[in-house]
Amino acid sequence: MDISPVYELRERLKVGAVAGSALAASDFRLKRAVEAMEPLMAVSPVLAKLGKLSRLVVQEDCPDRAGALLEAITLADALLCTQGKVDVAGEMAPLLPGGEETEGQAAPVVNVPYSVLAPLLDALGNSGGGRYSFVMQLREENPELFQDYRVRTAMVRALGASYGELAEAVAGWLVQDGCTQMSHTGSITDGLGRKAADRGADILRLLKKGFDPRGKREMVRRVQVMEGIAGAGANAFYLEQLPQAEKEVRGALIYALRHSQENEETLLHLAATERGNNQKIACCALSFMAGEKVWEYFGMLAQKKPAETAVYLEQSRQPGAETVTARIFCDTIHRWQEKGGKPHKDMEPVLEACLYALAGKGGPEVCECYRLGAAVGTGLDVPVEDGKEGREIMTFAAPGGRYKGKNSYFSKVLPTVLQQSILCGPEEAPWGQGWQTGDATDQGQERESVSRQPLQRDQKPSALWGNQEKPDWELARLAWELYGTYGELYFPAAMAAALRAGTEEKCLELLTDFVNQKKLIGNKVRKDRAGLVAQALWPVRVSALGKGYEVSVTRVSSGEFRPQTFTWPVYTMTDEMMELLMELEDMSTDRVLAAWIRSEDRKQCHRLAAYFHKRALEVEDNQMYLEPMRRCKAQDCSNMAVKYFSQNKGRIYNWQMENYLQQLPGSAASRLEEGERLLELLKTGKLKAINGWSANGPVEEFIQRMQFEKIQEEKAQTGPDSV
Amino acid sequence: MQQITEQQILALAPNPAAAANGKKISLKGGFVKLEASADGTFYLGECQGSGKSNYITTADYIAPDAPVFRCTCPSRQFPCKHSLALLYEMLHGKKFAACDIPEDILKKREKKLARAAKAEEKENASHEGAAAGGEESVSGQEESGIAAKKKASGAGKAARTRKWKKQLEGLELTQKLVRELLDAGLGTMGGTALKTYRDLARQLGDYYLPGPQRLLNRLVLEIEGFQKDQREEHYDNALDVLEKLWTLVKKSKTYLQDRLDGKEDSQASPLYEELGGIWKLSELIAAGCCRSKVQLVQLAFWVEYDEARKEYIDTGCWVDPVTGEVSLTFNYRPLKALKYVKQEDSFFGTMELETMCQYPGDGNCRVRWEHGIAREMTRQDLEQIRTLAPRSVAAEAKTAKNLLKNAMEEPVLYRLLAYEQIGQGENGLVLKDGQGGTILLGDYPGRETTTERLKSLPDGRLLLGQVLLGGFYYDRGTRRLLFWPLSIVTAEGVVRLAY
Repeated sequence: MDISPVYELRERLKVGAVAGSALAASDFRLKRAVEAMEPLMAVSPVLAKLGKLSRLVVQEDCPDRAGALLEAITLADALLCTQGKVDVAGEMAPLLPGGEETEGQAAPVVNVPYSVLAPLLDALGNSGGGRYSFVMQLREENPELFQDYRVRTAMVRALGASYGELAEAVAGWLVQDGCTQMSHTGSITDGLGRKAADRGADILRLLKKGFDPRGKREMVRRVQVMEGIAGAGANAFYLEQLPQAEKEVRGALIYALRHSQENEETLLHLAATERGNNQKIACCALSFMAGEKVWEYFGMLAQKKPAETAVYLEQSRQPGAETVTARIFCDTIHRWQEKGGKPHKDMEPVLEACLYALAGKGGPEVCECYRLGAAVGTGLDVPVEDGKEGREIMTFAAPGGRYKGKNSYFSKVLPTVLQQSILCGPEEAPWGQGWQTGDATDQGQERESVSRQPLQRDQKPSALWGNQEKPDWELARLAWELYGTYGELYFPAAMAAALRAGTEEKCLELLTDFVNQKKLIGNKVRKDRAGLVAQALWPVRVSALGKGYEVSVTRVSSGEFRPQTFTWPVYTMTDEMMELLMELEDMSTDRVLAAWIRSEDRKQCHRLAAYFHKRALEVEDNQMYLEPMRRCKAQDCSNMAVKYFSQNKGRIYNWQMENYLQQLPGSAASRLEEGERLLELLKTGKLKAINGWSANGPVEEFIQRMQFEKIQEEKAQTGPDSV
Repeated sequence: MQQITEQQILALAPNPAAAANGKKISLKGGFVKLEASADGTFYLGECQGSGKSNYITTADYIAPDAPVFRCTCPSRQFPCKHSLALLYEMLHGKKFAACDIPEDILKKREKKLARAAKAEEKENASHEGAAAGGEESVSGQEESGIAAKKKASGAGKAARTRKWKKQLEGLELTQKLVRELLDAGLGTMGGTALKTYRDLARQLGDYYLPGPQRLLNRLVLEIEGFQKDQREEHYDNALDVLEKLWTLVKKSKTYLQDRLDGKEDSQASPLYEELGGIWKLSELIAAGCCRSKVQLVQLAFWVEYDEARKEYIDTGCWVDPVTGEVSLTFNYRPLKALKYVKQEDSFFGTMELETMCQYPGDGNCRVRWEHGIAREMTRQDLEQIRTLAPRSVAAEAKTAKNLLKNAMEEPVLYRLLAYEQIGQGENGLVLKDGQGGTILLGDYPGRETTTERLKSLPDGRLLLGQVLLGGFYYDRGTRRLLFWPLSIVTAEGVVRLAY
């Protein structure tokens, strides 16, 4: 039955309602629609009723036209609802891969309640203040929420978030989740041996859906996440998108080709044909290829553009990359040595690129570089031939070092590079009792004496672009050799070797020897050598998993590559090492100690709290001790603020007072006493506020707060009656 | 040991943050002592606080469906995060040392029992007094009590009669208003006219007609919406409101007149709530609108803001695994009282209810309860739901159309549908049942866009041979009955597309 007249009638009635029922009576279209209903009225009583009602609307003497209009339109809507189509013609295509194809690939379904999910989706999908910290906190406290497929979809969209930090964080999580997903489903157990194509299949599907090769930063991140999860497994996708890709997205796709050796010819072609930044990227990607042609190419390139070539080889761990890098480095040094005299300024960019490129590489040729560089000693730490005012000395940035910027001499940077290389890669231990498999545990726990096994890293895959290949263990032996030959500058590298593969005894022995040898304890303390101890141990911190210790090192790139963070558990830390560092009484080693605080170890906290309090009363600027003391739950903060504010002739800013008091550790009673001491000093004029501002205000407020907190503490101690 | 589920903990928590903090305390090993009584009704924990000394927190399960929490911390929230942390300790199966129930707890239990007994006595006395209104031999005190009740019931009836008459007046006014509006035309509702209608809507409150008042507010909002974006659908929506208002007025006039004439139907009417009345649970029970020993599984949840009501509405969509019936729960949170009304949240288990009240009406009835026991959802629950799910799109669509055509009914009817496949058709996503019947899937305007989420599901097998909870609704644009997907029920669990 054709009910189009009913649709038309409804439409006209609606127009009548909008225009007014008075006008509806004179609407000829409505009259026509009413007339068109005549044939249908005989079909069913409902249509007959509708016809009658609509006739009433257009009738001249209708007593209640508005009522009739509303009745008619209500009936028309009811009728049309019952006539609504249901069946869908045509074929149906599957939405998602199903059946065996998804066996073992599916992410688990997570039940996330509305109260958490809705704000999370909102924070990931929109911009605005507070969203970043909300998401970060939620990820830290409840990472399982991010397994929910709805959150995953929002995470993929968040790759294009206007707040770059959030987008980067989300990208890292997607890679992390994609890489570890298989262990949840249990169908593939070895985190290193699994096939790339199976990992994070659902995340990959989301990343590919709606991919725009001409897009912007979001698409770049999508590619980077894809290669982080699937690597070569998504090679077909990279190649498929490449022809239409432009600019940054094109660069990301080109770089992604490095995962598959099949792309050698393609990359050689791209290296020759691409321009600008994408050409550099093509060369970097090419450095991951193993073919002879590639290394002939780089060999020739190194002759013409050694610095650029070294930059291209920075990320690669191919044997060819090690050879070419080593050659560039050694040739540069040899050329200078043969020529004699001062080094030339042109050497700086080449050596800098080589130093970045050497980090993480191993092999006999690389070892020779280190030996050569060590033998040079401070030979390059002199003014260059063509430097400014004859005083300019080559400086380099230590890749992944503690201090940013180009501010170190060659003789200092080279050992740092060696230290980083040892810290930045998993490798088998040549001595010691082997590694415990599974999660990091407390130190002192007995380890299985297993045969050497690769370290389990799947509990902390924090590297977004982590290269899991093993560098040569010879580096560790080299570190010992160079330490033995050249002494203290190579102590951090030797310590790194001991931390990675030594025993507790070896680490303690090495540290004790160094400290005693250099007479760091006692009257004649050489602070710069305490700095070397700090440099050796600063990568060690309390494990983020909450038990034991770990090393966390970030390898920074010279170019546009993301920093890579390497984290692995350490089993060679001892309480004696902590005691030794406390004996050094140096601020640089105190910073190291602050990273070793284990909040659940009351004894250690108590010990460190007392130590930090003592140090806070000795040093001039004791602000760095505030936070560690809070983490140790230190109860006593007596005279800390007094000590701090007594410097600078007792002149202080209002805001300084506020900031310091806010961070002051200790029990409410102790802080209250300290506040009262400060107030006394302010009143007696021994402490003065700068620029006429009164510092009394913040102190008095602080005292009031502490009085209240003290009461709360005491109340909690005695407890109210109603329990 | 008392059986605790995470659902119960979340339901007891005053807000999600308290539950999260409690969980954190438990995970970080915040308790230095855990004790429980031998009969499993009393639990005690000593928890590290931020101060020097520890907090003592207890949970008294003498009434399992209404536990009492106590804590020495200064927080005024009950249960506080320490109490919730204690529950998490129980959930995680931590070891509790044996202890006796402290004297003060026993005393408090006695006092509570005494209070409850006294209250019951009082209630029984008042019931008896009302029933014994006509009897002769009563004591002097009872006599004056009964007289007072008679006087009160007489006064109550007069008040009710006044109210009904006022409501009838209001309905007449509303009808007149609607006629005038349609005579002038919706297009004339702009500027000062809108203000007038807003004022008139406010006046309906004086006639005890909050229901029609809300509808009028909604109408004003639609017209305002049209003025902002000029979209025709606002007029369609406005007409829907007018249709409902007109039908409500007509039916309510008959309903109220019948009541005035004493022709009160013993059965509860949905018009009571439509006019703005608020049912008390006791009234629903007295009207026989309740069922006992019911189990409910929540399959979907969402929160929306109703501008016309100026309220947030937390809606839960539940299924009875025994009957397959789909019901809804609504938690209204007025904007002005957001601080005081607890927001509801998704619930992932099964509720076991001693008494469940069901609001009168057709389609998806609103349900409410006072106390319930939460437990984990089992595979058996899921199996039952899947078995009971209708298998024919055509049959369900027919039922849906018959209900949705009524102007007074909600525009969405929630149902379960067993399907063979969900896939991509020419014009959108399609659901196909085992008999070849198909229906187009769509997103109900103004609610969550769940069809997109179907495309992001982690496993393609979820789109084959499962059961879908969704809402049938009529889409004017496509002239079709569509199905808004909400949750997929599998043999292993429920995959929610909304929340």
